[in-house]
Amino acid sequence: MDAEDQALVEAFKRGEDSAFTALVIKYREQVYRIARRMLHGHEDASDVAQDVFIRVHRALPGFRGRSALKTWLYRITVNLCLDYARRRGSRDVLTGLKELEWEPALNDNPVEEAERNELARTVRGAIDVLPPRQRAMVVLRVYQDLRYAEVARIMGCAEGTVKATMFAAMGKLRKTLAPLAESR
Amino acid sequence: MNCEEAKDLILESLTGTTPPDRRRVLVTHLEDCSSCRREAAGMEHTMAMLRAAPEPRLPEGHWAEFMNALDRRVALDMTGWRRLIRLLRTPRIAWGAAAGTSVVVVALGFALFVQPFAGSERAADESQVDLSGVVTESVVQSLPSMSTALTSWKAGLSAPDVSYELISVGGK
Repeated sequence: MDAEDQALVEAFKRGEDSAFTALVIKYREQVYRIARRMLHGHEDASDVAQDVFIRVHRALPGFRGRSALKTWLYRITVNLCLDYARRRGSRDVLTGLKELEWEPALNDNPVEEAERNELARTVRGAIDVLPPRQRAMVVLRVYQDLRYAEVARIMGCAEGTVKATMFAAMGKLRKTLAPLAESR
Repeated sequence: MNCEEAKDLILESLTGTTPPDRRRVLVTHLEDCSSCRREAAGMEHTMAMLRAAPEPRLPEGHWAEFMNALDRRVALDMTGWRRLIRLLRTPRIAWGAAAGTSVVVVALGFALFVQPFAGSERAADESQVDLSGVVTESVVQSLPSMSTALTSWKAGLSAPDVSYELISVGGK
C-alpha cells in the first residue's frame, strides 16, 4: 500500500478524523470520475461517490491493507455503480445522458466546441451500450489508466478475463464509432 | 508469434504497458501480417477517439458542497453504538478500556474470593468466648482439675483475657 495511504489509515484508526477528510480529498476526484463515466449523470455520480466514502468510513477501522487502498476504493466504486445501474435499469441511466455537461473547449471556437461535443456524445453513447462490467473495465483501463492486473483485482476476476473482455468491448466500440471515425 | 497472440498484444501495446522485447516481436508480426495491421490501426483509432472525449465538467463549488454533505452524512451515520465502537477501536481508548477492565476484574476477584476468607477469620475471632467473668480465682481453686483442661484450652482456643498466671495459680 502507498505509504501516504497507510499513514492516513493508521491515523484514522488512532481516532484522527482529519485523516479521513484527507483521504476523501485525495480520492474524491477519481471516484467521482469513475462514477460519472459509468453513470453519466452528475447527481447520480455525486451520490454514488458519497456512498463510497460513507462505506469507506464504516469499514476503514477494519481495513487490513491486504490490497492497496486505491484498489479497495475503486472496487467499492465499481460495485456501487453496478448496483446503481442495476437498480435503476439501463434505460434510466441512459436518460441521464441528456443532463450531461462536459469540459468546455480550451478556445471559444464554436465549430471546434461543437465537434468536441459531438465526439463526447458519440463516445458516451458507444460506451453506454456496453454491458455494465465491460463498461467498468473500459473506464478503469482507458480513463483511469490502470494496468490489467489492477483492473482484475478491482473486478474480482482473472487478468485473462479482463483482457478477453476488453478485447470484446474494444471490438464493439470500434464498430459503433466507425461512422464517426470515417467522417473525421 | 501467431495472429491470436498478436491481437492480445495489440490492445496491451495501445496503452504502452508492453515490455520493449514483446513490442518488437509484435512490430515484426505486423510488418508481415496485413490482417493484424488493419486490426491494430482500427484499435488505435478507437482508443484515440475514446481518449479524445472530453472530461466531465464539474459545477462551480461542487467539492465544497460535496464535503459538507458528506460530513452531514457521516455524522448521521455515526449512531450511538457505531460511535462507541469507533471510540473503543482507537488504540489509546482501547488500552485505557483494557486497563479499566483489568482493574474491575481484580476488584471483583478480590470481593468474591478474598473477602469471604477474611470474613470467616473475623467470624472465628467473634466466636471466642469471653471467660473473664466466669473463670475466677475461686472457680479455679474449687476445681483444680480444670487446670489441665484450661492449659490445653488456652493453647487451642486462646482466650486472650484469661491471664496465664491465673491459670497457673489454679494448677498448683
